[in-house]
Amino acid sequence: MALLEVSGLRAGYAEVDILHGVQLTVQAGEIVCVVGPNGAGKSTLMKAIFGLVPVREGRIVFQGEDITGLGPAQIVRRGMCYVPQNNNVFPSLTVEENLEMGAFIRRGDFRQKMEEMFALFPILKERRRQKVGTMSGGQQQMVAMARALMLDPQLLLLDEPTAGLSPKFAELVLEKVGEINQRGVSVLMIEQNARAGLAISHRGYVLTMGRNRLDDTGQNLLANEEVGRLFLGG
Amino acid sequence: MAQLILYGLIYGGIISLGAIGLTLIARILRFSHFAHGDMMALGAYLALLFRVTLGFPMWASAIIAVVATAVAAVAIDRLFYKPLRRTGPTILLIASVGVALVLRHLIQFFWGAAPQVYQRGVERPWIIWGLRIRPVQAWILVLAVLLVVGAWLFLQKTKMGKAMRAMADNMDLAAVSGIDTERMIVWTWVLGAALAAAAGIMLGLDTQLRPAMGWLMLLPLFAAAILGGLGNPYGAIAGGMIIALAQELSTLVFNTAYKPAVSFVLMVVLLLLRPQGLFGGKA
Repeated sequence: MALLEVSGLRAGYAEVDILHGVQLTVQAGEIVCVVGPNGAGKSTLMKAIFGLVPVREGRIVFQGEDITGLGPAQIVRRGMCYVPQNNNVFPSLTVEENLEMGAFIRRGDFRQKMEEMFALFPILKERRRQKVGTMSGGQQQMVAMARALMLDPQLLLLDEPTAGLSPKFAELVLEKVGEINQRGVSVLMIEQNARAGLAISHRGYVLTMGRNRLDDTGQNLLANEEVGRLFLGG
Repeated sequence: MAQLILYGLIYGGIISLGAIGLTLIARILRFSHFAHGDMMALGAYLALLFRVTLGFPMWASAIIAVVATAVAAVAIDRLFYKPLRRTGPTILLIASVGVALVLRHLIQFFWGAAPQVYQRGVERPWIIWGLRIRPVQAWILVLAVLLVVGAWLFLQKTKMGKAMRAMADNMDLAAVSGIDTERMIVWTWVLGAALAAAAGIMLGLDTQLRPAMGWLMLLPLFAAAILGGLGNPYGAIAGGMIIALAQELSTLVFNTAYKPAVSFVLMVVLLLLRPQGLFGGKA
């Protein structure tokens, strides 16, 4: 059984459909990367899965349960967490407070989980009492991922985790995605840097105009001529 | 001078208590709550009901009035603001002006337009280190400090307080984290209205109760909140103190009648020079 199974997904804003029947699966333990040109519907797909954009048709099944139409509050409780592309931290709160908010619905003590996050992102431990708004973009992205991991999700959704970061930080963030995955968290991410994203992913999907274009293993997509022509700059 | 600073601190505590709620509501619900002053007045008059009409002791009247005002605020939110929440900040602002007018006129309808007091008679002031302070003012000062510190500790240390600050920062992310934002909004109203009611009662204890007392407090409240950056409840506390001290100290130079103008001038100058507020809260 797939961890996440999306089929025939049609969704969009107001009167306009952005997605016209997308299908996608994530198996337990996988990193899956969605690539595609701007406007392909990548972010909308992620928001629809997480209940932030209404689904008009199709089904989203997570851990064998139909979660189509549920809101984020219920989806979070089922073990899926989401890191938006922008505004993904609480800037006037400290690092520790951001993580505590990530664990808001967690019963019992979150201290140990926080220490685990500090082991994963040592820079955050040094800055645990710093206000996140005063930190660099790369560090904020780490806070954002750590916040989402506080609930021990089965599946982590990452919307363009390296957007706006320097190449050095982008590389570091993707490295962390690999580490997170090794700790047993499946990852579904969107990455505008398709080459780097696919390189660390088990499988990838190419989305264009709100439809599936291609799907294959990360390595095969990297080697695919059409993908190369479309996104990898020749 | 020291005497004026003392009065400034008393008045500043009252303004700060109102401005904390105003700021939280402005950030979390994204609108300027123009009925906040009248919620202060409602609290003051409810205390009057229990104190004078029903003969309860002052402390009990105050507690009942604070709780009742909080309940009223939640009811007002459910009835008027919640259905409009998806529309836009301007519509909510206008709605709150409407609520303010309704509250003020209800107060006038039930209690009349004449000024009233909790307790008749003149209190002899204490003289401490050459400063004159009436016992009731000492009470106000102590209680205002305790409540401001209490509110600060609540926002700083408790899970719910942190969640309120998180929502003020980024509502969408709070919802995505699984925080029940609707429930938190209710608690924000409870906190904001309870502090406002306490402030209103203190104002009534210090001077007298008039139906327009809340309306007249709006300007210093907004000035304090804006001075504090309208984002940061801690800034609101500091803003309240600055506005009150400036108003009191201005009487050294100007006629006391110009006191309210001081908050106006401070607000305008600040908006011109540093629109993000003194304490850098994001606008």
